Amino acid sequence: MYFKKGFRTGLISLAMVLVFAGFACAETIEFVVPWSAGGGSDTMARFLVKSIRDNKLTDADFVVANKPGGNGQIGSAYVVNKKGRDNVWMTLSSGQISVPLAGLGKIKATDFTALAQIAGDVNLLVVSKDSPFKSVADVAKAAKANPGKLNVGGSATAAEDHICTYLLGKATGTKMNYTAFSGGGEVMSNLLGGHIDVAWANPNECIGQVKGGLARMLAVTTEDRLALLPDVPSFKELGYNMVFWQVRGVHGPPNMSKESIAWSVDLLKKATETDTWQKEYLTGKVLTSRFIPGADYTKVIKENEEMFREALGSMGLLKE
Amino acid sequence: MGILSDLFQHMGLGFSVALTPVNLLFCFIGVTLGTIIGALPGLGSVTGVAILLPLTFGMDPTTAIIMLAGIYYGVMYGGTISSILLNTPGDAAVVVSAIEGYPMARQGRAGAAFSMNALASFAGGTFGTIMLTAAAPAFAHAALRFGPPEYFSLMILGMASLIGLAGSNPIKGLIMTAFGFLLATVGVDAGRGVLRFTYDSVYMMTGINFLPVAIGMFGMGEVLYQMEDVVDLDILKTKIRLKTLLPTMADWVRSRMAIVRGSIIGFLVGVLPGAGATIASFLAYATEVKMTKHPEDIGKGAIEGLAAPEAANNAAAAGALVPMMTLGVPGSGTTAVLLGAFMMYGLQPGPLLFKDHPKLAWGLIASMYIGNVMLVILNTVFIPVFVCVLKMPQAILMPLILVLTVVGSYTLGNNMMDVGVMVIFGVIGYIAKKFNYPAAPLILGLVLGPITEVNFVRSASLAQGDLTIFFTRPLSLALLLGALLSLVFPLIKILFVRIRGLRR
Amino acid sequence: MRRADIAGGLITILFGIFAISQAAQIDYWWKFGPGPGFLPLWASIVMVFGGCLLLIQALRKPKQDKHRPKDPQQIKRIGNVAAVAGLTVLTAVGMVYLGFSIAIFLFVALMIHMLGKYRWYITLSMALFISLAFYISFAKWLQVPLPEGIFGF
Repeated sequence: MYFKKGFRTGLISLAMVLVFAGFACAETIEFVVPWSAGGGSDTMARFLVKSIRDNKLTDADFVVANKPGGNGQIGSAYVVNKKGRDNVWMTLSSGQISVPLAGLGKIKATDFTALAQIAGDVNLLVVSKDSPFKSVADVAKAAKANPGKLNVGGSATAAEDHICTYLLGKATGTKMNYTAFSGGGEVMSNLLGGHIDVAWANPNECIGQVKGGLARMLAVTTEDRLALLPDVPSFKELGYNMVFWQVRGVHGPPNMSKESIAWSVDLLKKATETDTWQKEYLTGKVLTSRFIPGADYTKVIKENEEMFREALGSMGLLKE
Repeated sequence: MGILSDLFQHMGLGFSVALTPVNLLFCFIGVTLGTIIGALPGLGSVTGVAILLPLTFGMDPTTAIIMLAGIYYGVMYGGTISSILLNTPGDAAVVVSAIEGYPMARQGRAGAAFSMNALASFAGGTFGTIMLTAAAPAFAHAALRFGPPEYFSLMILGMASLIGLAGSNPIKGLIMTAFGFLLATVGVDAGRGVLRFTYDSVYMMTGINFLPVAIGMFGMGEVLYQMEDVVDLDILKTKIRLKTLLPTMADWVRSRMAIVRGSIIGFLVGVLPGAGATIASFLAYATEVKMTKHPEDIGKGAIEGLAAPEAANNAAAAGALVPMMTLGVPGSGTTAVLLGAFMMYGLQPGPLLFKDHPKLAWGLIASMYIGNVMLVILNTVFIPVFVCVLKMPQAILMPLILVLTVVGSYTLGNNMMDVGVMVIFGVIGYIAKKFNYPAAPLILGLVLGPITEVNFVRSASLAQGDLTIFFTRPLSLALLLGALLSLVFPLIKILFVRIRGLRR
Repeated sequence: MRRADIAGGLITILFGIFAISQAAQIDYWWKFGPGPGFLPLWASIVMVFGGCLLLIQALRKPKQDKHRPKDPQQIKRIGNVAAVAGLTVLTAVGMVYLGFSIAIFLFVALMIHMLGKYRWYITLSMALFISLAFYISFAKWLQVPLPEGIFGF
């Protein structure tokens, strides 16, 4: 009855074994994303892979492996253990630089082989449409009048938005009260609902609300205005000494071989020059095109780490 | 009249888009994939949509988004299949469906459970879509009034309603709830950025994810419990009988109001950007535990306890699209990914979406009506197939379930930590079942604990230490009063019965 | 049930006390109200409290164990459960070293052999079929990076 076909099943299974043995032979690069599926790093990884595949830049195949948890430390630990391996990549975002400094993990961004920064993200200071604040000067004035009373919202503790709040406080000579939410969506809804006074947001987190007239951008953290947002002044031109870039890069395990580094950097460069990357990913996510390879990228990471260390130290959050 | 005729015009436009053969086909592919992804433990709607997103490029944006949304609400239907069949929830939003769904299957009423799942899901999904069609902007703006204090009070209300979950021995329920809350504090404290109970381990830092705990407690725990009966290690007899494929008339009567309540709660909670389908299903179940006329059946296959959360998670999936489409603010993890999809197509969700891209916006909404019809048919036609799984010899079904629990918990985060958690809680789940400790309160503490705490911390931070914030904000106060009422309600009921008895 | 509840109460109390000792090391109060140690401390206090209640409740129940017929199969039952639980743990560990497919194949084969009385080739082909179905649907179609062992799959 049920199992008379058992023998036949066995033969079919045997045939299938041969098929999947064939599958397993192709050279694959494991692309580790230490954050969950659907997040910023995950989207970047999947589009990078798509840019490489669609434009047939290499024969090697990629598997995107999300290893979320521990503020990026689980995925990082996994990649650190792949020391010396050539077929592993990992995404890196600024959070992975600040987390170990805040005592929330042991693996530092400098522990990996830096391959290249492949995109840049910035922060915007945003208020809702009904806010009395029309400019950064208004915010600074209000913060000065009531020290520590102005409510600033952002995502996560001791990460980008928290540090930007500190930098703004330093540049304006004021003190503000920072509250952490989980993710840009929650920050925006609390801003629109009037539960916080000002908020930090990446361009892609607030551009919909700004275009729809629900929110206003006061300033951007870059040196100059962004090409995509020509009406938004930079803090620098307004006379506030603060510049902040969020890094989005690709790293390899420690001790990656020279040939593999060269091969990877070359492939990343080609991938970021494709239309797929420039048009579908960067424009879609309102990111800035930035490619900084190898040694220069290592320097960027080190500078960022220094800046975070200084900021977290002043905020009393440094726990190395 | 103007509003109504506008509505008809919009829906006409929407259906003209959604009914094109290509969009129909991809809607069908989406809901089918959603059902399958949902039924596989571990893979949820967030992962499903995220993985398929880059593959949809090159497609027409409307078609792509119709398909991705189909995956999202398809998961709400499909996840329940493994909850009912294997006691192994396929997605976070259907964990609560296992509590009543699996006992139903054990009583030979798997068919009835599936039919009820299909129907309640359809009712909830359609209700949610109607509300989305009719009054999305109004709901979205109302939802913005929910700040951290309101979320905190809402969670208190939810927990107050769940006191009835304790089972036969309330003391054991209390212990399990406290254990759940305690487990929820392991890892990084999101509000304050402090490590708790991590003992220098990277894995402990992640905290204890509630899905592997639920898969272990329910799925593996149940398999282990059944192993007790395999005294002779002989060929196991199929113990799950198949009496009926359809719910009885009494089932419908019992579930009618549960579906209505579940749909309303689900939609309202789904609209809130800080909640989502999981919370919605828990709150709907909590309400049913309070409202049911058969409290003795709770946890033993009360069909209304399956109908309400199923209606709720589907209504919540539609509700979560409300803030995303009208404000550009994601209402859940999956809508955050969908939002990303919109943006990559150069579409800007937010106040201008309906004005700038009416075809896409109304086409998507119309496709949800069609998708729900497809899903209810799909999930009804295949009931005999699902039920066939139960006819499999136990010697094959048991290892199969165990493999599913292992693979399912691995795929959550692609690490062995979740597998470890699952196995540990599998053993705990077996012991708990053997000695009558209810599993549901523990899961509840794990789900509601972190949200309650983080919103408390945020409220305190926003009010800068002034803890009266929970009572001075009218909405928050109303929710807290509701919680109080739900605590004293049983007492009032007893009092009322006594007074009536005295009069006679 | 009486003895089991006494044991359960004691275990809960001991675990609760341990949790209190751990939670007490975390800040109970911070600048804006209850701190990170607040919830864990109170949750563990409630556990100790619940454990005490359970213990009292159990001790007040009359002893009636003497009259209950002993289950002669008890040890065998527990043994079965332990065997299956142990096998699952071994499989989880084995996945890391042998790779997903082989560990699952061995697990399913052993389980079917233990639970069902099929001829060896049916058992083996069922196990092969199940592990392959998992490998192909998860690793190949859904692109889940399953653990690879020393053999590379």
